[in-house]
Amino acid sequence: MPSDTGQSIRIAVVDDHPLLREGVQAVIDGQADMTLVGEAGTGIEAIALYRETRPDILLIDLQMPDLDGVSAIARIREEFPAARIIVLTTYSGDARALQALRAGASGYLLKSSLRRELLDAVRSVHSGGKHLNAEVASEIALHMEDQRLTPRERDVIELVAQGNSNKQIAARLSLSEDTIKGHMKAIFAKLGALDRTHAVMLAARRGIIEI
Amino acid sequence: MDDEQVAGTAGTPQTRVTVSEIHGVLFTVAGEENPDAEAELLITGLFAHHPPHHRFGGALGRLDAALSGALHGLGRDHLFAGRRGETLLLSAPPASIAARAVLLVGLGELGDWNAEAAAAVAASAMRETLLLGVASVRFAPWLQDGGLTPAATRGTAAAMLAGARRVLETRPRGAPPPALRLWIFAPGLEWRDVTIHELRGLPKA
Repeated sequence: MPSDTGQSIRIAVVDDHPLLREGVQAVIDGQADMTLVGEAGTGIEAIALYRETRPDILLIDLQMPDLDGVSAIARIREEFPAARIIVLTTYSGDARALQALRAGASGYLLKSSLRRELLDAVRSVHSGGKHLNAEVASEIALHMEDQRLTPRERDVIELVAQGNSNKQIAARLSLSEDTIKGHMKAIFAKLGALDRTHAVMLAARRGIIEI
Repeated sequence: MDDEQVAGTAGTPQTRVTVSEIHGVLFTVAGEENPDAEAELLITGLFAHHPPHHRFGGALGRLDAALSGALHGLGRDHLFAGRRGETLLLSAPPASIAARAVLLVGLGELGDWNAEAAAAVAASAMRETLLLGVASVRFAPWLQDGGLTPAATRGTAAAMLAGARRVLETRPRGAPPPALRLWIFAPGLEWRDVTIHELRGLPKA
C-alpha cells in the first residue's frame, strides 16, 4: 500500500534466525511504502546497526546471543530517545512484554502473527502510535493486580529452574536456607503456584524467567 | 440521506442511517452497541486519568470484558495514557470480536472535552484508518461509558464528523484513493437518535 506522502518506511530487522529475517524481508519487499535497510543477528549488532542505518522502525527479537532484546532496546532508546522499536517474539507472557515496553518498545508482536498484523504494526508505530497483540494485552491485564517478584525472588526461581535445592541456592546466594524458604513461600504466593515445578512453569510462561 | 435495513451479526435487523458521503466514503450511524458488530476495524476511545478502581460501563465495559480487561489494564500499567489523539492498535482480538483489530484513541482529560477535542480525536482515528488501509470502520467512542455526562456530549457527533471529513478532504495531491468505503458511527443505542439529528443538521458533502 503506497503511503500518502510517497516516502518509504525504512526498516531494520534483528533476529538470530536467518530464516525469520528472510521471512520479514519477503513481507516487506511486497510493500510499496516499506524498505528493508539492514539486518543483524545479535543484540550488540542491533545497536551498531541502529547507529549505522537510523531506521524508521527497528524490528527486534527478545532472546538473542550476547545481549538480550530488552537490554538492546534500553540501550538504543538511551542513545536515540525517538527510536521506534517493535518486538517480534515467541513470548506472550506479561512479564516479558512489560519489560520490553518499559524499556521503550512501541510495539509487541508474536511471531505467530499474520503478515497483515506485522504491516499494521509497522505503519501504526511509524505514525507515532503503539501496537500490541491483544492476547499479550489481556495477559498484562490478567496479572496487573499481582504482586511482582522482587529481583532476589527472580534470582531464586531461576536457580530453582536450574534444578538447585534450597540448600544449594542458599550457598550460591550466600544466604541461609531459612531465608531461601521464605523467598520460596513468597514466590508461591505471588505466582499462585502449588509446588516448585508449578512455580517454574508459571514463571517461564509469564516470561519472568527463561528456561 | 436514506434509512436502510442491514443485518446485525446476531441476525437482528438494524436500521443504519446514512448521514454523509465524501470521496466515496459513506458515513452512517448505527444504534447497535454490540462490540462484535461487523467492521474490519473497531475504534473506541479512552479518557485519561481514571480512578484506580474505575470500571467502564455499557458497551465499553463489554468490550473490556471481551478483551479480558485489557482496556483497563493498559491504563493502569501506563501503557496507554489516554492523551488526546494517542493511539494504540490491538491486533488479533479474540474471536468474539469480529473486527480484525481494535484501535484505542486517547480522548484526553474528561474535563477538557469539547467540540475541538472531539474533532481532533476523530481526525486521529481517520488518519490511522487510512494508514491501515481498512475498508470499513465502526467508530464507537462510547463517551458516556467512559465517564462523560450526557450534557458534555452535546455537539460531539457533528464535531467528530467534521474532524474525520477534514482528514479526507486534506489528503495530499496525488495520494492513492483511500481503501475506506464505510465509516459507521456507533454512539450507543440511547444516543442514536440524538446523533442522527445532530449529523443531519450538517450541510451535505
